[in-house]
Amino acid sequence: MPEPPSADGLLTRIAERDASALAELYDLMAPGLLALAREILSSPKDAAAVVEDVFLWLFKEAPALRQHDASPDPIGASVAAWLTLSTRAAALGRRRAGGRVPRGHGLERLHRAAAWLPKSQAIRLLDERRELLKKVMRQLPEHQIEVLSLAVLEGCSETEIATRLSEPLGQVRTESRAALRFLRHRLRAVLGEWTANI
Amino acid sequence: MDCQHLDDLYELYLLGLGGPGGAAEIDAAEIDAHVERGCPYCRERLREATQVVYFITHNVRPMRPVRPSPEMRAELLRRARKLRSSD
Repeated sequence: MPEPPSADGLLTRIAERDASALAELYDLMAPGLLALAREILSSPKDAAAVVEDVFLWLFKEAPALRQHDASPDPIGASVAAWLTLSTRAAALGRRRAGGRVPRGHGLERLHRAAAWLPKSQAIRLLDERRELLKKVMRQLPEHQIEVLSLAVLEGCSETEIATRLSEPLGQVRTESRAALRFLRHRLRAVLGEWTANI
Repeated sequence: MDCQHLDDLYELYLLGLGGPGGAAEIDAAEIDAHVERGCPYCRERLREATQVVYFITHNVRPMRPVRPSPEMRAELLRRARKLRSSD
């Protein structure tokens, strides 16, 4: 799901309550977010409701995200990252609530996200190098991909993953941390200026 | 602020992977507190962890984009305009 080239400008207009800017961003990003929500929720209707709620939430939160942009660094926070994290949290919240709209949508922690969201430039670079990064993902053992998949798309805790895979909790913890450490180091290489033998 | 002991936990924090009683659940409160205090190390590591989580979320399983229906788009804009008029 690419960070739109015009994301910073769109976010400024959305913060000024420009509904047509919200529509532009929606046209660019809703297909990727709807795919994510459908991966998490079995009901297409629930998935559509989640994406709609997340865009409305952005409409409300955009001024706060823009406030972060007033920092000395002029490059804005990534809208794609915010929308992705928010859609995942909202879809998992709805999944846990059995299709009902959960209180707070499971998004509470993201209220503070403006302080630490990646820059749009970093997410754009990550999208540009997607093919290389897919190669990185394929370097992970199949088992670790399964652990990550259960955590990210089904919202399973490490304890729940251990039960689902009939494995000791300690092993799941080791696997999840090893997978995340590997991906973190590879992303540093791919996003950094130095090249690694990937 | 010495936060390097949290290095392996920022992605878990964002994913909520620890679960009740899990190590990440306990450390979430510590990360929350550091972020509240404006800890630059935690903010930088959370920024990096967000990139990792963003990448995994879109790539851990193959997903094909789904085009929303025109009705869905129209309903969103209707709600957004209603929200704006109630400001």
